Amino acid sequence: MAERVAIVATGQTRHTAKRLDVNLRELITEAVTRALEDADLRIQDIDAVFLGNMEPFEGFMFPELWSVEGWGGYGKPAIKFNTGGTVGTTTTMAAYYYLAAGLYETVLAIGFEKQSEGHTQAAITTVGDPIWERTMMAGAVGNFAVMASTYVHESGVTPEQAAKVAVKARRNACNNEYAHLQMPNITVEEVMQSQMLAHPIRKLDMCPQSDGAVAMVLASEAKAKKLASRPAWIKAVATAHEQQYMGDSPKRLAIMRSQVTASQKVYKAAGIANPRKDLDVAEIYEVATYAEMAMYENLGFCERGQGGVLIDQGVTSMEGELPVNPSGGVLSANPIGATAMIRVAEAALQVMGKAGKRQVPNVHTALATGYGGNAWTDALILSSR
Amino acid sequence: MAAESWAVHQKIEIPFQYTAGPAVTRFLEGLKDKLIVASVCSKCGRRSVPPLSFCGRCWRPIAEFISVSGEGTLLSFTRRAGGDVLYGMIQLEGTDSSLAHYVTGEVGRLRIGCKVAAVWRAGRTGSILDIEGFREVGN
Repeated sequence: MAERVAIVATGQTRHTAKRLDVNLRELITEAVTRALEDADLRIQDIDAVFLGNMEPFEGFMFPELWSVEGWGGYGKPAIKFNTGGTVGTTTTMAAYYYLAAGLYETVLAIGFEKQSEGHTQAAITTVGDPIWERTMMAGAVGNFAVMASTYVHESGVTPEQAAKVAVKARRNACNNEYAHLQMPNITVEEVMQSQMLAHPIRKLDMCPQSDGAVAMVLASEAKAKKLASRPAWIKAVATAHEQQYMGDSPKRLAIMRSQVTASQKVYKAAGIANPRKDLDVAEIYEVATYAEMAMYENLGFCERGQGGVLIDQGVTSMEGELPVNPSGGVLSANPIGATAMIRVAEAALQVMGKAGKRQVPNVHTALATGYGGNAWTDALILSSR
Repeated sequence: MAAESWAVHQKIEIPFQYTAGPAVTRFLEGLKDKLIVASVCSKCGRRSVPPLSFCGRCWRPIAEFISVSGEGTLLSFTRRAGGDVLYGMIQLEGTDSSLAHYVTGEVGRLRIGCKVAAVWRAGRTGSILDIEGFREVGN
């Protein structure tokens, strides 16, 4: 039988386009220091450190080796992960597995990215297959645009509905002191008139590139109860893979097989029959406005083809039945190696009742997701009980 | 900020080659003769372009290769930022996967689900770009 595991503390940097005042190591230290302070722990109290990063986005390999003194790894067991966009959730889940197995009592999990240092689109281009993809459609925006075109065709979602997602995200972000893009006055018209990047995706439909780091302290049951008055218990985790090449999964985005599989697994494990009713909040890895609406469908928040209706009805707004991304989401901050872990940290803050101005009232159950490559999904359910 | 922080600028070039493997080599060689080579799994019958040498779903080697039509259906498309170039996914007739390639047409007029056909280049070298792109041939 697995040990119960909880998130007991979090720390984040203010995510922004360029952190020119600190180097990578110093950036990570900022998040780690805040997480340790949050748990009232010293680095000596940590049994092991797990890190996630999307190399070579910074332009060099092994950023964790160069920054080891900055994250407290000296003399400790540590593992670095790189699973792409999902790395923040992968790293969280790895920490969970070790704690659930009873191997450690406290693990520090870190996600970081200083995207301004490397060339993100050049790095993403290397993800594409050299023969089948790089020639025509390498890069994040073009790839998403191709998938979004299918989703628009399948569901009939409109640019106006997509713009509403962008407005929700950037306005929510104003309540999050760590968010990169805070736009209190953003309007649907402004989004629909922003620069066309790749049809149908406009600049304000897409996430930014950010510098930032996040850290969390995870603990075994006995330790968690000592360290936090209201820990965020990890009830269920799941990962599902998909074939990376887009030509192998038709209607990608409209139908995200990995997201359906992973979410259904965690819902079942956590006893969630109706996600829209049973979840109190969701922090999802949405990347682009059209993706968020597709994810509503794939995560079972609504029927197929109803993603646009959900945003029209305000179901996922702060005041709605199921608030999605009170933090502002990936659309408001995307330090890639940290992004998925930020989803978990924000979901944990909601469960712990520590989300400040972005707190949703009475959160007991929260969903966090990670999304990597074009296709791979992680899902976690956090609970107050 | 206590002190000024400098940034040091560098540029890295990375030489690179990619091994196509036997199935894809068949495909690339076929292009010279205007042939599009698909693989066929003997168990599930899946016909793949790009061709595979191993079916990961049935977990068995693939030995059968056929040539398929250069006509197909447009499944999705976008226009590259700052240009007139369109690209998308094309499902060739009789295949179960789709191919990423350029598409000629205009956003607003081109429709998902329309029929398209390969446009071949002269002087083919065994490159995916031996196909110039796909043009609309009807709805």
